[in-house]
Amino acid sequence: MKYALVVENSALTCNSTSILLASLGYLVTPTFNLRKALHAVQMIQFDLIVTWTVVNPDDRRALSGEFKRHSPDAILILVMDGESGSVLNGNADGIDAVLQRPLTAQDIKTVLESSDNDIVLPTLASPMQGERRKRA
Amino acid sequence: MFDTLNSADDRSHNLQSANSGKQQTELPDKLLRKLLLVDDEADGAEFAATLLSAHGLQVIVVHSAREALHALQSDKEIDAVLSDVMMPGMSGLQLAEEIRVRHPTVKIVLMSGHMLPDLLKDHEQPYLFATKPYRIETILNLLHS
Repeated sequence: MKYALVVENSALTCNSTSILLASLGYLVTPTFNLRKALHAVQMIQFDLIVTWTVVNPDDRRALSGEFKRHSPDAILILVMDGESGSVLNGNADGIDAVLQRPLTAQDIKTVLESSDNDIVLPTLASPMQGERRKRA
Repeated sequence: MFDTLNSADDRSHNLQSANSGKQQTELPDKLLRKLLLVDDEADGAEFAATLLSAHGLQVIVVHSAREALHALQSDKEIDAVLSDVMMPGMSGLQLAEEIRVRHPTVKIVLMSGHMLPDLLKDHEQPYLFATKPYRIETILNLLHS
């Protein structure tokens, strides 16, 4: 059995992401609360963590880095809305993949099937390019 | 379709699994059924309880050694105790020693993110131990060992 932690910012996305991961065979524990998510990884090692943010509410260390520190074997996926590439803010320690909404089972599978030496950022290029275009 | 299980008192800690119905049948009848989880860190304990419940365990969560002793006194169906070591007041180690005296048939597993397992070996009967953060399988294996 594999275990997933879903950290989302709304009931709708929380539910849809949880259903998606459950369909892939994960036992899923969702939460909206970032502090609770941190407490969860301090207690339990997860196999997969899906988060909507890398910003830690309590200190300057990236939330993603804390997730990875406590669950080093977990695959860590950052989910972004549209062209929100700036959410990374140059501080995305530990992120294995960045996916855009709406998430699909195939997106998740692609990330899960990638080897450790083949970390993928499937959709990161798109929002970053969008940022560059805006600046130009 | 998936099932949804609510944790002790927080709806945001729902657990969803495509196979949770299957998981309920994983444990043979002779194995332990009711677990007392003792941890002063409430959020993490709720998550752990939710995941352990998905494996067919009935999990009761308390947040201090005193509460744990009270629960054990009032509920004779508790088969095992999973306790944090570092807690204010009575420690998990002190709790374990009390349980061995008062409830010798209850299985004890200690866990900590700070304490070295070697410290537990000084006791005549060493305690089962898991380091935080732990894998759920590790706890299940210790409980069923």
